[in-house]
Amino acid sequence: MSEYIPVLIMLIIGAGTSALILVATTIIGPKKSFADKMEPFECGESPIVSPKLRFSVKFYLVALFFVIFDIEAVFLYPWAVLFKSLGLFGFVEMMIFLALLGVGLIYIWKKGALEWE
Amino acid sequence: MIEWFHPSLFFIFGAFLIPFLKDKVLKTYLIVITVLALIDVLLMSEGIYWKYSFIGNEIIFGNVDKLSLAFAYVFTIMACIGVIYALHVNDRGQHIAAFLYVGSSLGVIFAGDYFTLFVFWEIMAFASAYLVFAKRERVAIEAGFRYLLFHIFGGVCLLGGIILHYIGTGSLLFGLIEKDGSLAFYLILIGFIVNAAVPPLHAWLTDAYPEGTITGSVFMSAYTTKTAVYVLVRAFPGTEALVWLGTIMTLYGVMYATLQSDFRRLLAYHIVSQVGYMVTGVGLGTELALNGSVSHAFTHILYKGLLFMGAGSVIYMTGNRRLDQLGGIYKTMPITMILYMIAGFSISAFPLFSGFVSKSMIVAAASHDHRAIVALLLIMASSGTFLSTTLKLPYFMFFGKDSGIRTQEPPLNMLIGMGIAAFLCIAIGIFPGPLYAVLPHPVHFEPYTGDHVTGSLGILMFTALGFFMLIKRLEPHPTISIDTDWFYRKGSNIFMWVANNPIAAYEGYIGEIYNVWFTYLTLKFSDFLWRVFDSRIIDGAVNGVARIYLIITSFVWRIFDVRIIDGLVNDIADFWMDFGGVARFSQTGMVRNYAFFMLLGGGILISYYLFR
Amino acid sequence: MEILIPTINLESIYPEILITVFAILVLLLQVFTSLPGRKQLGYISLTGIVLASIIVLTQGGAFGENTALPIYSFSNLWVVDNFSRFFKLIILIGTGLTVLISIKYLKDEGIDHGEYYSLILFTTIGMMIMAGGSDLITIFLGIELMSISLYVLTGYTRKRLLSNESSLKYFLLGSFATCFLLYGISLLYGATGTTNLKGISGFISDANFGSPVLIIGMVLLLIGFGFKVASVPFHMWTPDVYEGAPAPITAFMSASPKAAAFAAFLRVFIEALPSLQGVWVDIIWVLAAMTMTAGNVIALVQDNVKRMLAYSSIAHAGYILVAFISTDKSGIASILYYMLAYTFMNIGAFAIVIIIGGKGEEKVHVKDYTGLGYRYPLTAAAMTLFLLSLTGIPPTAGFMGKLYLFSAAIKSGYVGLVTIAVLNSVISLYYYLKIIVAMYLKEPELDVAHDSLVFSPAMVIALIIAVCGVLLVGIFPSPYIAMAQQSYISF
Repeated sequence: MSEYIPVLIMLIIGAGTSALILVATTIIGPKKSFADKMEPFECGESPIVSPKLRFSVKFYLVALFFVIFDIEAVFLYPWAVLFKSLGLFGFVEMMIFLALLGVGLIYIWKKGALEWE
Repeated sequence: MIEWFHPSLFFIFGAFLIPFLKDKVLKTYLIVITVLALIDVLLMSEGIYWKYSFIGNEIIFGNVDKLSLAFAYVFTIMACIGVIYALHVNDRGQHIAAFLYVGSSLGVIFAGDYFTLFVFWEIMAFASAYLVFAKRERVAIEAGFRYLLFHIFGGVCLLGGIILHYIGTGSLLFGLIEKDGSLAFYLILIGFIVNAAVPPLHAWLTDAYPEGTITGSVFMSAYTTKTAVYVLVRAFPGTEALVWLGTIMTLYGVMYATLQSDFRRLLAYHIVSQVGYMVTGVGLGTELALNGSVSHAFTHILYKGLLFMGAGSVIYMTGNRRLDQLGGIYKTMPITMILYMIAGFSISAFPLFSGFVSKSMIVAAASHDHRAIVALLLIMASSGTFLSTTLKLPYFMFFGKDSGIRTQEPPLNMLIGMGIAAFLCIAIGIFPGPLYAVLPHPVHFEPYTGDHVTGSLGILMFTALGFFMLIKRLEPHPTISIDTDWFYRKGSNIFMWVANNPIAAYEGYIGEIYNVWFTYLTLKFSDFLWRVFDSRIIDGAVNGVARIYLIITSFVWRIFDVRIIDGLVNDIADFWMDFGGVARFSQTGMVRNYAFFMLLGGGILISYYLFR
Repeated sequence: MEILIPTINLESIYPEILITVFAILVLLLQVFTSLPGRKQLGYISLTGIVLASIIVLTQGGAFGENTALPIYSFSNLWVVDNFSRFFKLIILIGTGLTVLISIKYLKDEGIDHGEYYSLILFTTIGMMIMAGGSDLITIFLGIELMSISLYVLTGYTRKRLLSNESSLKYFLLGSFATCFLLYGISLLYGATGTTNLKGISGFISDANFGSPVLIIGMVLLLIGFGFKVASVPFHMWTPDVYEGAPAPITAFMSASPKAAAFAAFLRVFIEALPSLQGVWVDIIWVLAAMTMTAGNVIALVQDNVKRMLAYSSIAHAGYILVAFISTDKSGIASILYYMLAYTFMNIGAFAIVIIIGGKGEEKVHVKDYTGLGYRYPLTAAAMTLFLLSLTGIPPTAGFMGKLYLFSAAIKSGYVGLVTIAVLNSVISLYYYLKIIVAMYLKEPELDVAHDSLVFSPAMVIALIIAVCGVLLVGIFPSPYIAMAQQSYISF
């Protein structure tokens, strides 16, 4: 178990730091409350609007495509780093992977999902 | 030349063509198929045929010996008669069901192993249930359901017994079962006696047969109980319990029959009674007794079929099935009446009629075995049979008070069917030789000895005397008349009292046990449990308390409520429906509830392991 | 750093590759060609399925005592043995029948896109991976591939609210169950240091038997698989999802994915956790009893035939669990055999539900079946056969299957459980019979006249296959039983 002790120490330090900050600010910080300040903070937007706000479905599509191709990148990096030692096998494997993703790309392209209008 | 051809194939495969035929072609086809099967059976010789290996076990389709042949003869003869009787029916579904029914019962007869036997046994239950359903009335459909559920229950017992038997002995071959008192032995026995309609497992018979179609009941009266007799003869000869069960059956059926006014139900109770003789014979287990059982099954099929045909003709022509509303129709249906009377004399074992030559054998076997009480009780039951089937029923149906119903003889095909059966009844009665020749054991029995004949006649005559003196008392709507001889009145009163009180109470009592203990309490109890575990606990608890209160009140109420065994099946169904209805509430349609249940289940599982 | 390149044995995944190629082909054909109807895509998928089945059948020789199998490949992540081959065949049969019954349905509903077939094929790959994986990770991959495709298929009739709702429910609860599964896998990995099934069993028999981590991991796996096979109390999603999904997908889900889930379930528990058998047997005992009873009892009160069949499929999972606990050769063989029989009869029954349901699946109630026996005797006869087979009445496949299941359990001494199972079969008779009685014995009501049942050729072929399957497997069971017996995993 001893090899996990650093992890435990790390955990304690992490938790401790954040707890300390929270406690410290509550104790030392000045407190002036007025109406605007008591509103929930929402990135500068007014939080009180209808929750039924509609986004175009295209946003979601783009987000999904992004995730897919992001994963592609995640795989490509380590492959590129180890390209030499993986050799031909690695190359073929990666090409198959890319081809499968390529099929997906062709599909969404032809479906018109990449066109905004 | 093929050495053996399974007669079931005629019927089972023949059934598939029926939907495509019409009118005259269909009629010819039906007759040709049955006659072919009859010829096939007549040409058969003993041996073991059609033996296959099936998942590592031997299965035998053709176990032909004297015993199975005797049953096969009468089954195919009855099939011919039944088909002729049913020729006018246009509903092809009924023909198909009848064919499958006959075919599967032949399959049971020739089955050499439990597996084949079970498969045909189940097909038989379904095909015959259709004959009840086919009447398409609410009452009939309900009765058919109960019938089917009852048989499935029997089938399940049988299957359980077979599997246990197989595991115990490693063999599926069907034959004499060792009387070791094991679970397998009892389960198979129960499976068989459900079909033999042994009280208290007889309710399906008297419930469903009167509700079947006119022609369907004719078929049903012949096959189900008799295949059961066959398997009992084959597997359970000499089982002591059967002697007493059989004797009780004979009396039970007769007494209860006397109370009926629906004449097909009356006849159905007589099946119970007559099968009782056969079961007694099986229980006695001597050669003479087994011969008696088989020959009685043989003759019984013919005369009981004839009785149902006669009764069916009356229903067909008058549309009425209540004894108290008929009467005086002998003027317009004389032939039916005569044919019916032949069957009546046969069933009550009148000398020169078929019942006599077979029934006297069982009675003789009982006395040879030094069982005087059994023999006496059997003779008593015989007198009761005579009373209700041969005297009371025809009297009120054909003679008696004129009901004003005027009708005609039934269609020709019905008369022909009845005529053949009647002819056989008399022929067997006068020349029992051929019948005795097909019995499984050699026969050294002479029915027409002085004491048999006089003894039998004496009892029957006394009964007849009693009947005519007590006609008023026995009327379906009894009005008490005091002007009769006190002795007979007293005797008849005792008889009626026994039938009315202990027997009726017993029927009610059995129903009560099932209702209250088996079904009602469990229903309410599990209902209550369900509610406690329901997500709406409080609501459920309140309801639960109310339910408990209801249980107690309805329990008390039901004690005083007189119901019959039919309630059993209904109530089981009700119970499960209720249970299902309550359980359905757990299906709320809310994902969070489902997830909660999953989590709860997981939590229970984990804590079970961690804290056990 | 030396990188170990795993041995590649492409031959062992030919069927999967083939199905993948066909799935992609169908997808691309859908976008590149403008076929007049999409029927062709269905038939193309079918070709792929048939070819894959042929490969599965010939892979490593015929079924029998052959020594060529099992073949392990890809660093023991993948195995080809008779067990996986049998399950793959069941899965492919189920998929093929589903494609056949879908063609007309999709056209009627106006959703005949190539994606449908493509998704079905992807589901099939997932299922085949579940059957052939010999590592928890491979199996998990298969489960996810199958589930995600199924989530989409469930909501495929996207204009029907019920379909959308069921898709979402299935997705949420499915993810929830996946969490359990994944957590279980990680705990097992933590306890044993490997995800390989054989490795796990080797480790457990060596040391730390019965450690809480191991047990909890096992229970979590049990929950995850319990969800996939729809066993009580993890079954709650089933009725809603089955009712909402398009009918062919319901048929599909109740047959093939269930078979695949059982394949993985069996393999994990019998290959990886045999030494914990004493621990999981009593839990599965309880699950089996509850699953059968709840499924059958709630089915009694259903009027909607689709929903009734959903509950009945829960009950059937219960029957299969009965044989699960017997864990010996005949127990496993009986499960294989039963799954085969069940695929035919259940998809057959759903095929009839689709025919009767008509456009928009409006006629799915028992009353819509009244009088069917008169207007369409053959259809009614087929339905009767399927229902009798589901009940377990001879001489159908369902009867032989049940007999085999129950006798395997009795041989292992679970008489009590089998008694419950048999009583349940009797209960089930009631609701199956309700449909049969409606078809034959009641006069059709005026508003439910079956004015126009339309039979497409594909549907008729599917029905014929299902009927023949039920009869063939039921009346001549010996070859199939022999095949199933050859397929038990040799541990």
